[in-house]
Amino acid sequence: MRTTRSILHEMLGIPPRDSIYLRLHPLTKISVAFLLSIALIFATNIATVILLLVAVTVFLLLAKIPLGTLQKYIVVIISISSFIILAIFLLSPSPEGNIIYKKIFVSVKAEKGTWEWGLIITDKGVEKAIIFISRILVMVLTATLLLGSLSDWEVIWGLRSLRVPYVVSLAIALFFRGIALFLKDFQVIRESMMVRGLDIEKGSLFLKFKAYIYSLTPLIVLMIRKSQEISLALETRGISLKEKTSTLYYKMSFTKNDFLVILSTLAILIFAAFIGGV
Amino acid sequence: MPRNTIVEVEGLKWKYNEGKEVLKGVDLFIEKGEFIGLTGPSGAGKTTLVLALTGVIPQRIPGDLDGTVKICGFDTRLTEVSKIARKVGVVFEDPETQFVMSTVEDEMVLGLETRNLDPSEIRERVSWALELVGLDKSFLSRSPLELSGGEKQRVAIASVVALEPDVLILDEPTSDLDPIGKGEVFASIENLRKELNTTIIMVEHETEKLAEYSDRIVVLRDGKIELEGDPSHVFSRIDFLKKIGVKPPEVVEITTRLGFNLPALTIEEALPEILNIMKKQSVKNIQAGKSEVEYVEDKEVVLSMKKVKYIYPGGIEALKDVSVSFRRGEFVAVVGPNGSGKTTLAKLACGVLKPTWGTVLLAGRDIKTMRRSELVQKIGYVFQNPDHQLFCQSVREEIAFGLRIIGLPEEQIQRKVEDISKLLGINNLLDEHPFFLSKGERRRLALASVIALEPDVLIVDEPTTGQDYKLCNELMELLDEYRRRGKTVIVISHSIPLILKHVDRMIVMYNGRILADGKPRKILENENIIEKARLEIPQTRILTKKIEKITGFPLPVYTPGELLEVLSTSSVKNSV
Repeated sequence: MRTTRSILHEMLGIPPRDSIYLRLHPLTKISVAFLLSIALIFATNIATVILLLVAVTVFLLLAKIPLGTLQKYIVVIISISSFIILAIFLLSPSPEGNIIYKKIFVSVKAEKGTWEWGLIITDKGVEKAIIFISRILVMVLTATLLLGSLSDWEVIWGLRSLRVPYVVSLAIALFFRGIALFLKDFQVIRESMMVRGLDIEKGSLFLKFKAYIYSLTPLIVLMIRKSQEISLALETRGISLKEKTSTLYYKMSFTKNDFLVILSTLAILIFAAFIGGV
Repeated sequence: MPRNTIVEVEGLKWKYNEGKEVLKGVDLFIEKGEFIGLTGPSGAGKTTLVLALTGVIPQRIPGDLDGTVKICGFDTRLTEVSKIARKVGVVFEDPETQFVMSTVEDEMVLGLETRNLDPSEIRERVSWALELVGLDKSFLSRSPLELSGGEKQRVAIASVVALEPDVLILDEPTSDLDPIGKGEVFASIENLRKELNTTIIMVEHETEKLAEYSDRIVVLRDGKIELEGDPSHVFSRIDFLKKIGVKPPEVVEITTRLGFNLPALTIEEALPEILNIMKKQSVKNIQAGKSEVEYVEDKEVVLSMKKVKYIYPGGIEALKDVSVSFRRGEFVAVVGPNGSGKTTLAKLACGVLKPTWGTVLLAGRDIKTMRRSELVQKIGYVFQNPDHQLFCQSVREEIAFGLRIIGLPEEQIQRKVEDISKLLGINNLLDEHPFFLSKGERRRLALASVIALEPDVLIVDEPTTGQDYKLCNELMELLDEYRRRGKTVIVISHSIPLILKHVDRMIVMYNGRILADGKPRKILENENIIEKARLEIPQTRILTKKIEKITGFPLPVYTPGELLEVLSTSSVKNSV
């Protein structure tokens, strides 16, 4: 069995390229994402996040997933990151560490002292911000690795190998398909708004927000309709909630590459836990 | 009751929870191995009957059911839907909604794995079912969503057929397909019947195909069976069928009107008798394109595209150097096989997509320089699926949406809403929520919301898909009425009979290019174009082409009315 269509392909139209990583057992690919996510818990210092960033990037390169495809989402990541940085610097009441830059916006003098609020950048604050942003980046890259290297069938197959019930595995695979359908519908609805006069591309932020609100009605209705249709399609093909099956159409066994990848990821997890201070 | 009965429907009544009674006492008995063609106007209750046969009604959809439905020995009230599904397969109208997995192989395996079959048997069944529908193994690794319309529907059929059902129910499986796709689907079903003697119940508006393949026709109207019997008996009720919105097969209409004792169901059956009639009387020579509306070449160009190329982000070149212009007052049809670039052309024309290369000019101005609010008053586009285009809380708000964006005064907006809703026959629904309307009404609302802006150019994408003959004609009349107001109407469609009746210019697209542009009848005389662009030739024209071949006499007529007129006139002697 080879991954011919990954979930990322379904969602964003990025086809997978044949690679060693792509040919791994589905359970290995699920395990890598799972272990890296666990390792994130220990990412409390810069060394650990760098280790995880390097690890996930190596896996992405092994999987031949074009990192350029993430460009579109960089804006979103930057926006979230900026928000986090500002929150760290503006909302920390008494920031730790040595002050690098200080600008006070509000200062209230009282009998018991002075209350001040402003932008205070400290070396510890900068470190905290880097860790936060890197953790988000690791999460995004791990999700990309998982979705870019697994097909929906492999999700079912991999989960069933872990003794997850058939219907639960199918539901998880359908969740990803649901996201792909949602994105396609959203695109068409956006186009239909443009046709009705909403200038989403050039319009103000308020207009964009309004457009999102407008798109909610058709999106929800379409989602309900489509989920009804898919569940009917499944049931009328004999697949119900009570379904149990022992048949596995695809046969696949672990190779030395699988063991190697899992052991490496386990080593990363242990090392992350060690340098993360557990 | 017939022997060997596999489907027994007795006194079936069904009322949805919202109170609408859709089935009002249906009695239907079907024998094993029969091919039943179920037809009727939109809203007759055909899909509801299909859902009742599968047990989805009453088990999954709330409502009141009276009467009984037994299929393959199962009482649909008492047997679980998934258990009924082991004997009864269903293929719905839109194959895309049935696809769950990302490759054809996974899609087919999905249902088979739950039957606890051995993997080797699954593999055999997948190959067999695929072959049965005329697809080879190269399709296994492809995404079902990337196939052509006919291929998608054949994969949907193969996925169900692989389960070897005793009864196969198909709900309008060809409504969105080009003629070749339709032929492929019918051929697959015929193969299935031959090989497994499967009972087929097919809901279809395409009566010509039903007449050819069905053993029995059932006409449903307003929740009741209005006509039932063999195809020649049912379809000979020409005037009644037309009145209720069912288009009878053209050869049946011709032969019935000519007074045949038993109307012909196929061209082969009709041909000898018509040749006999032609021998007995002389025939008037008529010219191709006689009844077509003349071009409006003197009017100004309102929309033009110059050397337009469009490449989708995935790298697919959907449009290749297309140059075309449209004049004021034209009614143009854009035709071509699925994936030929018709919708891309429309989206580029209205500025939803930006050309990779080339320019789009509206009234001589590059649309890149126009604001969106300005653009929508010049060009409107109605999407194929109305559900993508409705986002307000009431019909009134929906029609007013665009008018508010362009900044019209409220008083004027309300006046326009009243006028447009009246024109489209939805004025009694102004306070309803758009998503509570029927599909036909939603389609008209989507059209109303665009027409309200009175664009100079109106593009409508597949407006007649899945609608009955009467509604299709009404919709085309409406578009023609809009054109008569001095507007340009461009309609994307597969329906050649409707195009011939209403449209004066046809653009044929193939593989991202314009293959032909001109009068519909003239284009339809070109065999190469027909074959390449998978165009549907009306049954009457197929018949008259055969007559031309045999007699050598030119008979370029396209409708039953024209042929009957020719056959009843005697101006040229001894033509045959």
